[in-house]
Formats: sequence, C-alpha cells, structure tokens
Amino acid sequence: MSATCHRCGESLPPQGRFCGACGAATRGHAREVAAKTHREREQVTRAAGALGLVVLITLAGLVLGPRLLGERDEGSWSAMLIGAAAVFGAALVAGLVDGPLRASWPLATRPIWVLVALPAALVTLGAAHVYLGLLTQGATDPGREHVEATTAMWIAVVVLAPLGEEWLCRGVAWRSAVTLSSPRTALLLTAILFAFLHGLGGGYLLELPHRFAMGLVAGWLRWQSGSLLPGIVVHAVHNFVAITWLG
Amino acid sequence: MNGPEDEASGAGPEVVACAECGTDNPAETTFCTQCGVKLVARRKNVGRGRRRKAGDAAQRSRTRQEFGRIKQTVLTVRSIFWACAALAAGWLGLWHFFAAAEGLELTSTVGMVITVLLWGQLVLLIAGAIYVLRAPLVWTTIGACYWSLNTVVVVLAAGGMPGPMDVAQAFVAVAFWFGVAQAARVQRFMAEDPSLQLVRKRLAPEQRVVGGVGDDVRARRKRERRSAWRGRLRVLGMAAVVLLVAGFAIYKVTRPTPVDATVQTFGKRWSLHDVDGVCSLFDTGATGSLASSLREELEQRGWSAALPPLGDAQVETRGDRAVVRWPLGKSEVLTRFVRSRDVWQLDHIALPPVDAPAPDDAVAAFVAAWEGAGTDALVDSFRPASRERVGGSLRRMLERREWHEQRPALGARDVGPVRAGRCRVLFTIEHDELRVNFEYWHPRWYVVGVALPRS
Repeated sequence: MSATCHRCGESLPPQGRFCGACGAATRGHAREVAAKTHREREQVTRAAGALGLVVLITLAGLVLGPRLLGERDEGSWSAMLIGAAAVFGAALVAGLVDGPLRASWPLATRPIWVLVALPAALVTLGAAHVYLGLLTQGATDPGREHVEATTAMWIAVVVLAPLGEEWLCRGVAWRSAVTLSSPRTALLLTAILFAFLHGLGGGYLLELPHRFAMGLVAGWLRWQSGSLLPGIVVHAVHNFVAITWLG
Repeated sequence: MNGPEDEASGAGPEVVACAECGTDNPAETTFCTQCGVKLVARRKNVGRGRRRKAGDAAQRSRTRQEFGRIKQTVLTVRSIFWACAALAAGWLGLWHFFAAAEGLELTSTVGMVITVLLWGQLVLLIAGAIYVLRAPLVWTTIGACYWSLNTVVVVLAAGGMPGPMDVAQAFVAVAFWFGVAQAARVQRFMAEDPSLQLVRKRLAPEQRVVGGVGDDVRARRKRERRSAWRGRLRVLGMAAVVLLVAGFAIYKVTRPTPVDATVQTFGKRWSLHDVDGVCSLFDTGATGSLASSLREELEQRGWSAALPPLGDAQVETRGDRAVVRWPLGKSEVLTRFVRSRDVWQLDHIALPPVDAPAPDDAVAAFVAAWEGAGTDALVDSFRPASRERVGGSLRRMLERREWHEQRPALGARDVGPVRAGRCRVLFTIEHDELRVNFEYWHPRWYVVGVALPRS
C-alpha cells in the first residue's frame, strides 16, 4: 500500500519528498528538515559559546597572566605549569562546549604537508627575526636578561606550547570560527587570538605583529591540510630554532 | 528517422524534468516530488541566471521561518549597541564636565588615555549600531569581544573579586556570544536566499531606467563590488580601531608599576633619618636579616642617629630590577630594588667604604693590655656587643695556657692594610705569631678576634 499525502490525499511516489499534486512536503521529509535545522542551530550555538570562551579566557589571561607569572622566574616549573594549565584548560573547556573533543584535534594528513611545514617554519622565523631586529635596531634590550634554557623551558617551549596553543587556536577556535563563518575568517580570527595569547607572559603589544604572522602561516597550513599536525611542526621547529640559535 | 524525443514518447510514460533540480517527474504532477517547486512556473524561468537556493521548498520554508524568528536577535543586538552608545555618550559627557569642573589636564597622559578610550568606545558602539544590520556576524562578534574585554577589565579593576554587577556584565558577555551564533545563522540565511534582508535598500535611480538586462546586471555587479570593497575597508578600519583601543587599554592596564615612587619613598625616609622606615622597604621586612645587616653597617659608620644627606638619585631600570645610585660626597650609596608581585622592594644596599683612621692607638692599647696583669683590660678592648661572648672565650683560652695573670712579651708587629674598616696585626711571640683582628666602629677601633699561637 503506497503512502498518501496528508494534505490532499493523493498517493505519493515511493522515494518522493513532496506531493506531486499539491507540493506539500511529506511528513518524513518535514521531520528530516526540522531535525537538520535543529542540528545546525545547536551546532552554531555551541560554536559561538566555545569561541566566546576562548576569547574570554585569552583576554582574562592577557590581563591577569603577568600578575600571576610576575613573581616567578621565566622558564621555571611553576611558571611553565601555570601557562600550560591555562592553555590546555581553556582548550579542554571550550572544546567540550563545541561537541566531541576528537573533532577539535584532527591529525590525519598527507605527509607532504609535514614537509611543507619545515620551510614554513623558516618563513615565520625570518619574519620574527626581521621584526625584532627592526624593533631593537641591533641594540640589546636593557630590560631583558639572558635566560639559560632549563629543562622546564625546553619542555614548555618545544613540546607543550606547540601542542596546547595549536589545539586552542587551530583546533578549538578554528572549528568554531569555521562553523560560524568561513575558513578565511577563521584564519584571521585565530591569528589574532594566537597573537594576543602570547601577551600572556608579559610581552604586551610588542608580541603581536610577528605572532600574528606566525598565526597566519599556521592557520593557512591548517586550512590547506585539514590537520593540526603541520601547525604543530611549524610551531615546534620555530621555537626550537629560536631557543637554540637565537636565544 | 526517429529522434530521441520520438523514442521517449513512444517507449514509456511522458515525464517532465524539473528546472530546479533536474528530477524527472510524471507528466500529471504539478510540483516536483524531490524539491517541491512548481514545474510549470519553473519552466518559464529557465536560463535567467537564477541565484542559488537553499535546498528544497521545505528547506526554504523552514529557513524563512527561522529567519523571521532569529532576526529579532540581530535587531536586539542593534538596540544594545544604541543603548551602550547612549551610555558611553553619557560617560563621555560626565568625564568632560568633571574635567572642566575640577580643572583636570586633558593633555596629561592619564587624561588623554581616558579621553581617547571614551571617544573610541563611543565611535565603536555607534558604528556597531549602524552596521550590524549589514554585516551581523562581524559586528556582533566585535560587540562580543568588546564586551568580553570590558568585563575582564572591570573584574580586574574590582581587585579580582567579582561583585553582582560584574556577574551581570559577564552574563551580558555570554549573551553577546550567543548573539554571535544567531548572527552567523542570519548571515548564512541571507547569503542562501537573497530575498531575506534585514534592511531593504531603495532602488538606485539607474535601476528604474530601462536600459536592458545586460546593462542593469553589469551596473548592479559594479555597485556590489564597490559596496563589498567599501564594506571590507570599513571592517578593516573598525577592526584596526578596536585592536588599537583594546591594545592600548590592555597595555595601560597591565603596564608594570614604575620604580620611581619606591625610590622617592627611600630618599624621603633617608633624609628624615628614618632607619626603620628604610629597613621596612626590604622584602624581608624591618626585622629580617637584611635589615639587621643594614643597621650594623650604619652603626659601624656612626650613622645610626643621623644619616648623611644624599644627592639626586640616578635610576637604571632593567626589567624587574632597578639599580639606583645616590651620590654621597666623593662616593655613593648604591641600592637595588626588585619587583615582586608588582611591588618594588629593596633588595640590596651598598654603603660607601668605612672612612677609618690608622689603628695605631688601638694597637698600642692592645699591647699595653696584653703586657699588663690580668685579663680585664684585654676583654675590655673588644666590641661591647661581642665582649661577653668573644672576650669570655679568650679569657678561658688564656687560663688554659696559664697566661691569665702574665703573658709572654710581644715582639715585632706587622700592621696589615686597612680594608673596609678592618685591619689584621701580626705580633711575634715565642718564635710564633699572634694574630689580632681589629674593626673600626665609629668612633674607635675594637678588637674583634685574637688567634693565639698553636703551642
């Protein structure tokens, strides 16, 4: 027995979604559309909530971070733990708000993108080096003393920072921004977030330009490869080279 | 020869292809069974470059329904922007009124910062109210970021302990972010279905002129391109303003405290001879080891009661440390301050070397006491503060050697150089040597240590 239209009573074709006589949607299709709309509404709301959390936490960290870290030595275990806990905690909370955590942590990609990440790291290093060179005009910063790289600093800078910050910016924030708008907007927004995130250690506005450039490069890799892995590689290589050769 | 149409018409039932989705429908149907559009009506529109539609008829109907519901959110956001702009205008007016009434200098750093922030806030909010209907997502996001920043700064200004108003403000920030979600959907619906508009623009005059479809389309595309570029520039400009204002505010709020106030306090307490006040600037407090050490050094120089006047401070700040040099005659007092928890504290103070005369009188007095009878005169040559402890120890050692009444005569003496108020003198005694350490404590030299021969 074939189904009939709930409005006009005409018989409906087996795979039809609308009545051919009156144009009314079948009940099944109407339910499907309603469910899709509901899913989309929920998805967008979660994405905005997650993005809001990331922005709020970044701003709070930016303002409160220097006060929290001010009494600690740079690179000490306590400073490292506070910074890492803040970044990972923010990513975890915001990621949970925006659906399954696994979706904010895409790693699968083609190996070529990991190779592309290496010259990309050189580009970001070059940009940072030129910017900082222009900023200091070859003079040493009187307010900055040379800090010996401790084990804690190595772990924080080369391992924890790439994992945590990429997860927060290119994982959680990226997913939310793409859901809300488009990859281009996500690229811009996450690069801004990434730049502001680096004011947490007390770097203030001087950290913004070259961090923003690095955020753009890592975001572009995230966009093109669909994975966090190239961004993590860029970040880790950048930090490793910076701490080893550039001090 | 039979064409495809002939074969189709002869082989099976007649079908009508939908112009929208291309589905073949039975000839007797009026509506497409897959997308729900009216088949006859669509045929007339084929080839007119129709815009993309969102899904099928049911989907479009649902979209229109949803749009009608959630566009109120964007309109509410616009109202919030206007309300906040009115509030910001009020704050700005109050600021200028009080500045004029109290005679505040608007050109000073603080005055300029507050003025720029208030004006920037007003401009931002008015721009948001105007443009939120054209680009809902961008402006709602800017509003949400602005309000989030506002909340964080207000909570910080409250000392980190949020009150009811701060909680309410945080709630508005969260609401703004959920407004972002609805704005994203509104913008998406508008992109999918051009008939959905928050603002209906009037027709441009050239559109009313019959100039052919091609001209009209070209002119429309040109206008759209220009409009898009203008929109991008506006967004970029506004984003730059927001970033500048936010960054400047953050920089000002989080700027480290300068050391000048602490240096002035030190100088003032020193000039008032307030030793306890100076000692209280140490991070270990007025009773800690650093304070005790400073008191001893002052006492050694005879400055406990009256500190000598210092010259103008020369401050060198290096991050969380500041070295301050205070001229004092031909020498200087060097102080080092460190910042801890955003408070500058005295970490180290180096006074000029002790200006001590030659210890000849003290050496002669010691020789006389050594060669005299008994040990009282010897013990009396020690510093009063350590006389009981060190003098007692010397007395016991002399008794052990049975030198407490009479001691061997001292031979040749070798007086060492005076360094930092200290001097070592070696005496020859029974083919061995006696070492005596002297220390200058204003106004005279004292014995602070005696090393007897080994035998």
